[in-house]
Amino acid sequence: MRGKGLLVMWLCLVLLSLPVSYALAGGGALYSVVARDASTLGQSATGTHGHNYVMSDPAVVLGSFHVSSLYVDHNGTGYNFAEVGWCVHRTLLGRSLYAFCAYSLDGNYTHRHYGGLISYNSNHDWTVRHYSGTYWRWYLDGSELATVDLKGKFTYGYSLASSERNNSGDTNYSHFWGLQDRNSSGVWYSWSNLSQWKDNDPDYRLNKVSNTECYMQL
Amino acid sequence: MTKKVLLPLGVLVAAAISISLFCYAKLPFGGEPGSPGAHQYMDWQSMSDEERVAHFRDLGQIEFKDFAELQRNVDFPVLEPTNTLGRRLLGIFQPAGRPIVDVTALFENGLQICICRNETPPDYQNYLKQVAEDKVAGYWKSDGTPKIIKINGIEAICDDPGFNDIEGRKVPRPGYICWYDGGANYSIYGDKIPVSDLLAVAKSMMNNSKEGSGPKSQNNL
Repeated sequence: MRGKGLLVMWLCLVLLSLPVSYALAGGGALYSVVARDASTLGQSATGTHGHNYVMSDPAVVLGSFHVSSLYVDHNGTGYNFAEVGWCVHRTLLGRSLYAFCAYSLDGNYTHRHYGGLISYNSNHDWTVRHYSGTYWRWYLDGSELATVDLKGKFTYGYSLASSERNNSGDTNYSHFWGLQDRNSSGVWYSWSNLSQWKDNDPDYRLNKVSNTECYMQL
Repeated sequence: MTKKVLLPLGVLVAAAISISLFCYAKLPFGGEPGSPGAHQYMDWQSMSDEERVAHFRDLGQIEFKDFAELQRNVDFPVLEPTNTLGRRLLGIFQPAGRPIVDVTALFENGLQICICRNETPPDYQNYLKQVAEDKVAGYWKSDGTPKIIKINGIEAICDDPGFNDIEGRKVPRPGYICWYDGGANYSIYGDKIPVSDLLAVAKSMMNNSKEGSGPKSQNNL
């Protein structure tokens, strides 16, 4: 009788842990689909600007997230970059949505997130650009998010639009449009050669609509 | 009767929460060190030497086979390292679209040297102040703290390799030594290479300076 009770308890425990175990199945890998402007200006951009759609109900499994963002990456190694975008993240407390600005200097990663500025099912305008001297500035819908001294490490780099997820159960859908590069004189130009740079996502791919618009989609 | 039901139920709930938390800790949110990072489209440190060279070539970069060839194409004295910790040079790359000298020299096993012209010298003291503020605000996600040192009388900033905490994940970051001299930023990066070793590379570059480092003009490549 006692053994039977223990068996029932064990089965209950297995059943209760199943949803979390399913989430583990696709975990451990980061998937990204990255577009860049392969034009000359896209290799030496002092800023990246574009529009992006925040989905109405993005799927994200527990402990994982999806990111849609724009970058200026100095030399394409990820050691020195400036990034702006949004992230949806699911924890035990539920799903959270926030805008963020991030940068990496010599591989040291810094991340500032801003809750309450964006909502589901909405379009937003994102900009990250060299501001002045050693400073860079991040914008959401034309309003400054942050201005930071990047100690003159870089003032230009590769202009990128990126869609990232951390689990095969997450969405990696993104829609970017109106993509622009900023030149050394501070003038914005439309991307003129939108190309795929990176895609290690087994499910999502880059769908180029034009040189300034793309989807990352199934 | 109530006690008979509540006790096993309590044990059941406690065990379920424990198992869930255990599984949760195994998820990417709290994953293993060395796994790829979130908010980082490029997992540079996990790439092989061949993949790194291919990556730069895919970007359509100008390529120099050695420092001598680079020197022939620029009008300032290039600081060539005489000590590269036994690592062979794989290539020197310059993005095609850039109007100023901005090269990355790739060596075997995660050693790279970047030389980038920059008119604005960095203020390392101010940067450390900013790092301290970022730590207090919770923005700083690195497990290290940059340190200012002097190499041959030149101020440099450095740190040993470690990890970034990105959305709860430990993502490896390189060791580095950076300095500014004569209008250019010099950066030496080493995946899993401590500052004590990178210092030998930096000193060999500084000691190899014949006319003083840095550009004389801003001519294009």
